[in-house]
Amino acid sequence: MKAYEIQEFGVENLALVEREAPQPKETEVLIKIHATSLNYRDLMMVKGEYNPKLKLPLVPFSDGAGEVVAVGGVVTKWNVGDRVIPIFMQGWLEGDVDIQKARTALGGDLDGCLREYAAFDENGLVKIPDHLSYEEAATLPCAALTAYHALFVSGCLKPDDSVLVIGTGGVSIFALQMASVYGCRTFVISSSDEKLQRAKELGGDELINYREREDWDRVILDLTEKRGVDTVVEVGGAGTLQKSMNAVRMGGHIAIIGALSGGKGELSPVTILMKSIKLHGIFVGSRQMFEQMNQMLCQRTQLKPVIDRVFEFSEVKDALKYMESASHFGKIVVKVGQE
Amino acid sequence: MKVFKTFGDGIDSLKLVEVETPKAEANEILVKIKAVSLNYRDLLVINGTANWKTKEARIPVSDGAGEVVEVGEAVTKLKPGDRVAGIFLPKWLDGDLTVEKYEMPLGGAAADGVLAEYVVFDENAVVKIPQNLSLEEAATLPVAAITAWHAIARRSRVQAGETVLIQGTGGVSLFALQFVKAFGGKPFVISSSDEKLERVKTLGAAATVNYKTFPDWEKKILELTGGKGVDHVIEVVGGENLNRSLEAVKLGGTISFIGLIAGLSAPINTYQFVLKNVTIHGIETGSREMFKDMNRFIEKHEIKPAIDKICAFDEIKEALRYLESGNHFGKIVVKM
Repeated sequence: MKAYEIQEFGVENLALVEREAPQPKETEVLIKIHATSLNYRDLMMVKGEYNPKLKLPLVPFSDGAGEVVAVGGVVTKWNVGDRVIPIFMQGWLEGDVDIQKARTALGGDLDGCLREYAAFDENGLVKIPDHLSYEEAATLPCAALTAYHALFVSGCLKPDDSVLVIGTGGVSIFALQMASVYGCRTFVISSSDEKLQRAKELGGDELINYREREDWDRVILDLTEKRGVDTVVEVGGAGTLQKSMNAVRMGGHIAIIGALSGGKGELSPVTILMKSIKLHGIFVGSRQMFEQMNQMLCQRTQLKPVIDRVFEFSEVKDALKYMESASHFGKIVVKVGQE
Repeated sequence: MKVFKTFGDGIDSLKLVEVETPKAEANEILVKIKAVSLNYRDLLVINGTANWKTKEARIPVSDGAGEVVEVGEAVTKLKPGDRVAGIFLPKWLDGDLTVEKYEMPLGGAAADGVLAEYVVFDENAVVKIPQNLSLEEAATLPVAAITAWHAIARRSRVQAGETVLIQGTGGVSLFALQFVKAFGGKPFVISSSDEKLERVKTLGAAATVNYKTFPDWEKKILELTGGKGVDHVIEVVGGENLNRSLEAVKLGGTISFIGLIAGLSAPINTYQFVLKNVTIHGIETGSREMFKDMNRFIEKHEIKPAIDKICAFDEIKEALRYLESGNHFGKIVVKM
């Protein structure tokens, strides 16, 4: 079978190799992977920025979707032909995360999905919602689950709450869609009017161009009668966190997802205390959360993942460079296998 | 009656002045203050730091306890002779904190405090003090104890057997230690003084680390927990210390953030928030409802506040300087 490996760091060094297709062990399921999607973590992983001590070679990309083609002798949950998604942390089935569970992430601790076939423990999979294609399903494991965890597990969103999302990357768009179908008032900030227009079509209520309004935190306070928003889905990291803390209401909730604008920066942590803010770092989610999210997605089929562009298997380096350019809106998908 | 007033221009400029004793109207009560306790915030107000700077002369100090001596005609909950303590945020009676409830904290830029012989309160803005405490002891509760209670009981929800890292030996920290112990948790305490660490052991600390001897104390904490990290951190230092707390907490743990001491701004490793899946709760004192819950807990578990020193009314400046020195262990009380 064909697979990509990180043998040396760097997008250009990503190597297409021939590997022997795995055989499922007794409790395992063999999947033919049809599609993967990209996350910023994958780009960092390939470039060696996520973990310079990463064990190589490694098959990158945490997110994938495919069909079951063989099952081990004692597997009871799955049959050949089932459409499935491997979960991001293979060992985080339910409950709180701990260090053992956290060390089972695909495309990092374990080989990821950028290969034609992969074997997973039968517990490390969820069923694809019926209304989604493989390409759409491949966008869920990291970005959608992170957004769901942020809004509904870490936070407990209520229909008339207000939610601010930073930018228009994968997690932000999912959070916007979920909050919007839930009946929340949504705020989106972006540097591009064109992207803001598209966010509006997805249900964005208040759209702010942060290039034009560097004081977007004040704009949000003005739009909420000085109260601030109930929840912020913060993907920017140190560069935007202080303004997010200014824009959230007293006693509000900030889900911290990423560090696109830098992982370390000057903050006024005293704001956390003075405003009684709850900050929660979100690292994807468990299988149980994934299953709950899929139920929600099935009940509200108007919620379809936003895919920016689909690349062929042979174009994976272009896909990574496209992600690096940050001009995408929603998810970038790479098909797996022959064209 | 005698009161102290400040313009936010330093401890030395605190002035003792004679003013008219207030009267309790309709829903109000008049309380003869018997004792006050000092908090770090009182220093920020008296020294006029940042937003704590007052524009007019204010009576400082937020925490006080005393006896009801007079009640307004519409008062139904209290009678003369009742022993009460004021609540720090007089409008935060229950539920979540909102901007409206956050108005007029006692002894700040916006409202007078309790460094006075008599204070008028709305009858809703006080609680009866725990039966097992003296008025001096009860005066330590309104800010430090309720902050520790809010963190331990309401946010981190410490369970029996869980490990909790507590920083230093100030008021909030020692209450946190006592509450954690009463919940069956394991308090780990760090301090710069071996002598203070000996004293926290007698209060029930399960393990101690001297952060002068071990500047990378977070590594010691990881060792003490088999590499896992503590379940919860009570972060009272703030600033860059938060980065160390993020190292010392377990994956998926909680940090109750109360830290003011290390300054208002610092370079923070925000990416660690995500990797550690940590929840950080900003703790701003607590509501009257929490205060009542805490008082029942204090009675049931017979908790006695750790008081470092009781000063006389005319020793207030020395008491404030002692607080500023950071040499205290537990609360500093001033008798009126």
